[in-house]
Amino acid sequence: MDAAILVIIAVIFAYAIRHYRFYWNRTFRVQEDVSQSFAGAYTPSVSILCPMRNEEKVASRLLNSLVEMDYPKGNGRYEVIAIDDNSTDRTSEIVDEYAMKYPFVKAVHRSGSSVVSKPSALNAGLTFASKEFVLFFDADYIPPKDCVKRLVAPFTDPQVAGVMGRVIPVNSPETILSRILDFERAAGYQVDQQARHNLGLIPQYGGTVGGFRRAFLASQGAFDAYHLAEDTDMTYRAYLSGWKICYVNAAECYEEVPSKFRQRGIQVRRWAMGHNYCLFDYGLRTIASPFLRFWRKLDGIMLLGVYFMPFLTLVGWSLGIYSYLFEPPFWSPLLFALFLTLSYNVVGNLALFSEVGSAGYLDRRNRAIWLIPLLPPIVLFYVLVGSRGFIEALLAHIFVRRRRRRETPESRRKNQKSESP
Amino acid sequence: MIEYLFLLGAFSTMFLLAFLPGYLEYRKPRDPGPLHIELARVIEPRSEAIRFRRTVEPLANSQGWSQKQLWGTSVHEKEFKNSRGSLKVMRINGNITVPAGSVVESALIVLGELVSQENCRFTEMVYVKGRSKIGRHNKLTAVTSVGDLSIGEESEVLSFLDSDGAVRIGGGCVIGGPVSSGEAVTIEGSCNARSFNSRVINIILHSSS
Repeated sequence: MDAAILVIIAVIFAYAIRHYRFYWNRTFRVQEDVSQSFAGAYTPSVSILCPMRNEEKVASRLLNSLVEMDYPKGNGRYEVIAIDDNSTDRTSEIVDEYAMKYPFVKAVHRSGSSVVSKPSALNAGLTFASKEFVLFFDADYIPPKDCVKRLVAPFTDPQVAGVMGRVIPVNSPETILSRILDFERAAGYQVDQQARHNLGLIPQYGGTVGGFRRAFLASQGAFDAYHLAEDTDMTYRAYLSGWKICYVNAAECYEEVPSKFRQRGIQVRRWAMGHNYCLFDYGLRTIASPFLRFWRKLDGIMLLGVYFMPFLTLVGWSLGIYSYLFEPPFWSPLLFALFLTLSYNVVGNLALFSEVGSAGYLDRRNRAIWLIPLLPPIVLFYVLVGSRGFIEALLAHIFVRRRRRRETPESRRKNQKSESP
Repeated sequence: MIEYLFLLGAFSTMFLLAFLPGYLEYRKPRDPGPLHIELARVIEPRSEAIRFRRTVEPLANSQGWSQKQLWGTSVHEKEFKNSRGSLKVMRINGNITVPAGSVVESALIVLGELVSQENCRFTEMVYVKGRSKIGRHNKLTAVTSVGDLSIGEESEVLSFLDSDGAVRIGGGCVIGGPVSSGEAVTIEGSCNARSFNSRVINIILHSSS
């Protein structure tokens, strides 16, 4: 048991070092934003995909932002593809209104689809995307006018497959949870993503406020329609085939974050499942990849393990408490204290402390930093929800995903026939 | 027993004190967010030049310049220091003509007009209040001019070329940054630049005979 605790402590210690490295780099070192000197000067043709499912409350807001975007719209250089994904409210009407009014807006309607998911909606939209680069915005996002110019600037580097902008919660004043999530996002983007970008590690494509070179998307086929983290999936597909992702801190965009714990729990559980699917799919391939140098491999593995950490922490806590109470070797109390100190800093890879503080400092939000002491109780919540997500992902991977992959289209049709009455 | 209760009380107080700032900010928020994004903001191609002007203009009015004679005119020099290092600045109150082949290793503030002859090299940025006429084969870091700006053939500029007035660029020039003008950009022959930003852009191609 002591050996297991030592291994867990070693893993958590590695994450702690990683976080402090990022914090130090972002706070005190020179920042990498060379690509932004091309922002505005480089305006290639771009398709913008907006998947929407029952988004009547926010669809107009996003589409307004996109039609008013500061980007050359002549000569077919700019198109907005609004994908109404099986909506049952007024979303389809709103989408049609914009398509009728603006020649560069296309409306794609999906109805009666067998698979209703964001990746499958994106695949439908991609069929109609004709431009050199494809960017994605979810319906509850509000991009400023310079966002697209800033996002496409890194594509001047031919090695860049994808880009990712910074997300900022717009509804943070709503509840204490949304305020804390505001800080988490700041740490995740302003510090974590930027530091990974600075250090040449693996900045991650986050599913929205970002996009890809169409040549890369074409080489990859399509998004996995059943995946719960198609963003992480695409990030690893890019790195494992020799491309890279660029993080653009200057491309800021507002989003809405959950303001209730129940919503947040569902979100974290879904992310945990999707992220762990990627761990199962790409863990070994990341280690073996000929395209990644050592530090990128290490960061890649640690990034994949982010949503495994809550489960590992829960196991560690349980073992630690058991060891402390029932089988204390002479060094156990010290080890237990060390374990608690380390996990306090890194649980769930949320960079709750050093990186959050750094983000508050960089964003000049000195007073909001006072909220940091309220973060530890949230840790417990993430540990429990993240652990559940990991166990569900493991079971789904063993019993559903592997079987689905073994199935050929022919056998899938046969199964469907035999199951139908 | 009382000692243990005292210790428990002291521990609990210290433990709860850690949460006090969070509780205060939660009860009486002074920074509830969100972080401000100017949704109407656009990328201004002249932003680098404008930023440089905003830095330079107060410097030009500062005190403590030393005076000397150079190229037949009186120039003022001063070294500015900040946390990143130091920068030598040369100020000319009137017009100046920089002789052919000169190397200027200070940032240049010209409050009159600037004329440079062939093969001059300016290793720091140049700010001109009047008109600027840069000669052939010059090498510059960046130029911003309130008056009209012309640059001779086959010159190289590392960063921006900016003017409130008209900009005229000779053939074969290479401009590493944006070229921007408040009136019109005229390009004579072929040249390379990151971007041209003006409401009017004239291209004059000389046909070879």
